[in-house]
Amino acid sequence: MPLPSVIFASSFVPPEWIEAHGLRPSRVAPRAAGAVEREGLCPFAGAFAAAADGPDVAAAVFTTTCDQMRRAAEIGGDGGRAERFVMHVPSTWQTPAAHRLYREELGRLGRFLVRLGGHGPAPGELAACMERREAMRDEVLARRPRLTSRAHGDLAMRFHETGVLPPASDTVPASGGSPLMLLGGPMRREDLGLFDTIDRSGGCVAVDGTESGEREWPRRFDRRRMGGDPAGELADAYFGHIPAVFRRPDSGLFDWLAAALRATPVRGIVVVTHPWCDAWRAEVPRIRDASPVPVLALDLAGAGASAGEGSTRVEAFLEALR
Amino acid sequence: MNAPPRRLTLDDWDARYGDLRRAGLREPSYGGPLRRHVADGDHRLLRLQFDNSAAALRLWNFLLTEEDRLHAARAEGRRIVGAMKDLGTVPVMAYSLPGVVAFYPDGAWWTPCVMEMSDELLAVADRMGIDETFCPVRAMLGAFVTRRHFPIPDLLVCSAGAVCDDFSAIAQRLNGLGHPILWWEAPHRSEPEPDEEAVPLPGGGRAPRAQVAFLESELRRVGEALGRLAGTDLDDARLADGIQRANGIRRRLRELREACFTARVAPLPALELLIAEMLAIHFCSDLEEAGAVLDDLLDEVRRRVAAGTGFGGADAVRVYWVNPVADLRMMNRLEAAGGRLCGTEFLFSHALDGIPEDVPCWEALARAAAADPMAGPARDRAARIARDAAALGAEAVIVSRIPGASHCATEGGVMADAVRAAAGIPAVEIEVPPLSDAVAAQVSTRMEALFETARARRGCGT
Ligand code: SF4
Ligand code: SF4
Repeated sequence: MPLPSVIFASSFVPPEWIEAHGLRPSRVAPRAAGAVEREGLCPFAGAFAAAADGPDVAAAVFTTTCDQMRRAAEIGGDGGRAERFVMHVPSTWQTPAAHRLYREELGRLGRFLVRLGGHGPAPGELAACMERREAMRDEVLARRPRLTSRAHGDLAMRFHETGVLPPASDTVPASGGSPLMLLGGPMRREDLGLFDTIDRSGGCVAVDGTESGEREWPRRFDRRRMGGDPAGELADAYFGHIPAVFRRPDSGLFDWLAAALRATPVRGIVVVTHPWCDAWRAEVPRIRDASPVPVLALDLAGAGASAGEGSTRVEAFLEALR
Repeated sequence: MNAPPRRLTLDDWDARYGDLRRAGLREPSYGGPLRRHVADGDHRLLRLQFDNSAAALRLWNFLLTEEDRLHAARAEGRRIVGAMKDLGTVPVMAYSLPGVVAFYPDGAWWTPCVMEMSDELLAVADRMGIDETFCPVRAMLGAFVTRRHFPIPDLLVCSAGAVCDDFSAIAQRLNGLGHPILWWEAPHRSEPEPDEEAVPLPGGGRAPRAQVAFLESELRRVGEALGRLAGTDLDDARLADGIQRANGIRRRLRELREACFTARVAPLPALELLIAEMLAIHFCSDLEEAGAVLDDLLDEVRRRVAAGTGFGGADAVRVYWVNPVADLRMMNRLEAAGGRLCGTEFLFSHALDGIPEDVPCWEALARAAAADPMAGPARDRAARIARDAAALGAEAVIVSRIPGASHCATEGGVMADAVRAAAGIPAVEIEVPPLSDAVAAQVSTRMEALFETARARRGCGT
């Protein structure tokens, strides 16, 4: 029987850590259908809160990466079916104390996982998980040129949710077309329709800078440091390097944007935001200022980005880029 | 000079001011008739009803002249700190240092209401992409851009982490406009783990000792920056003295609240009580004067309590109010609908609780910061509200929903459920925009319905 999973939505929760504690990590792309809906509630946070009560969920890890997500942990109150853990991911990052706090929060999460039925990582276990996951991340990226944007989006999502990759033969021809960067908030399952729209409209996703994409992957692990202090290396690779929107200051996000645009020339940027997401909505004007290429700001509507108007706007954007 | 309590319009206040002057009213330097503030753009005053006491006049004048005080401080060469978001912690440190004045630019929250949008701060924010999906604190962005309100601070200090998204995003935007910000981390207050050492917090909660120690180190980092700004260290002796003085303000406010909440008849209108509570967070830019303003108010309230006079009669429905109101006029409406305040929680209960004086000063301040109701789970905040509401004999709870606020999407329901479940008190959530006139009838109807329910429960033993 498969282990019940520990689900999370933030890229600051290392799946390697959960795996090394003997539990099954699953970074979910929650479904818009069935999400908790409330006036003012971010639909992604509402969808994750609903996912937390899904079948086979042993526990859900919520993070403080935004206030909406932090508070979504209380939806359903104490009556939530699965255990809920709120992990403080510091917003500040320029002090050693912030790094230490993140590491301590990993420790607190670890103790929670043990109370949940897991175990402390055996010697070498964490490092092995780190190596395995890193190789799979490399593989996910390597397959992009051979896949349509949608197929690659599906692949990445499946990898995050299950920690496994389908065989490489399972490929769909690449779409080609105008290369785009996606940037912005996390994607729900239905939002993957955006990839279809892009494929259909003569574009392709060359860089996925959404919270679900590779912008929020950890840096490559340092094998030497991994040998001595794998937990420290894990913490640094995640906390020390992911250029997330909630960091204060958020200069890392704009450094990443400049570097990514240099490394992978794109014709345009599509910034996706969820309704009520202050963190991303406040950044859109700054992204426009910082971008040398046209920017389309797209609301991920309640039913998903592919719905109606969003689809038309993406088509028009790509047409203008030709 | 001590007339019986009465509600006055601004027009009434013109006459009352003349009477007070003729009766020998002595005013501080910022005194004068209230009407002059309308000429400065504070048009909302024309639609408010005020308390008629000289103490209330002083309170309003103190509040409405804060920007003048800040500009004067700048002219005198004092250093100005813009404390942001933490509501009550950083100013305690700042006012412990000589030549330093601190205020919350967050206070621009009320400017669209007080100026009835005439200053277009929200329109400026709109143009910058910070639209009405953000809370009214977006007016702060407009105030920084237009530079028509407070002087731009010499140092901006902002808490990050377990804070609302609205403020965090807007402060970051400000940062992007070239205003450097010293960020400090306010961690989400977690439940101590089994076997983990915990420390008690002001107000009755507790937090893991490790979290308080982390906060202490963050506050020390802020303290060093403040010391550099002041040109002298924020040492223990100075901070301990600053804590004592801040506690003096907090103590007065607790006395004022208790007197108002427990009196048979409300001795002070809800509006003036709300304004008075605001003094807790940064002392309206003058700690000593804030104390004097509160002393006057306390004297007035004690006099009225002794005489059994006040507002609304003894049968007014006792309301516990949660969250500040974007439109000050709501406080008048509460009373017009037949309610009175018997308890409040305006997001900064941690700025009213006494800072412990029996533990080392930095740890004491860290404990106070850890008690921030917004840093912990909504259920902690709700539990305290439910406890206080029951203890104060509240008959109804109103959670005023702040438009666009990231915390309001979920916490209103958590709090209303908690007070219903724990104390059996009827509760409603009502959204209050910065100018609520367009929804006034609807809001009043909801309050009246709530009060009717509350009255019906009287004598039912429920
Ligand atoms: S989309 Fe925005 S508001 Fe929603 S969970 Fe992500 S950061 Fe938070
Ligand atoms: S969202 Fe709430 S806590 Fe944040 S600035 Fe607005 S009113 Fe204050």
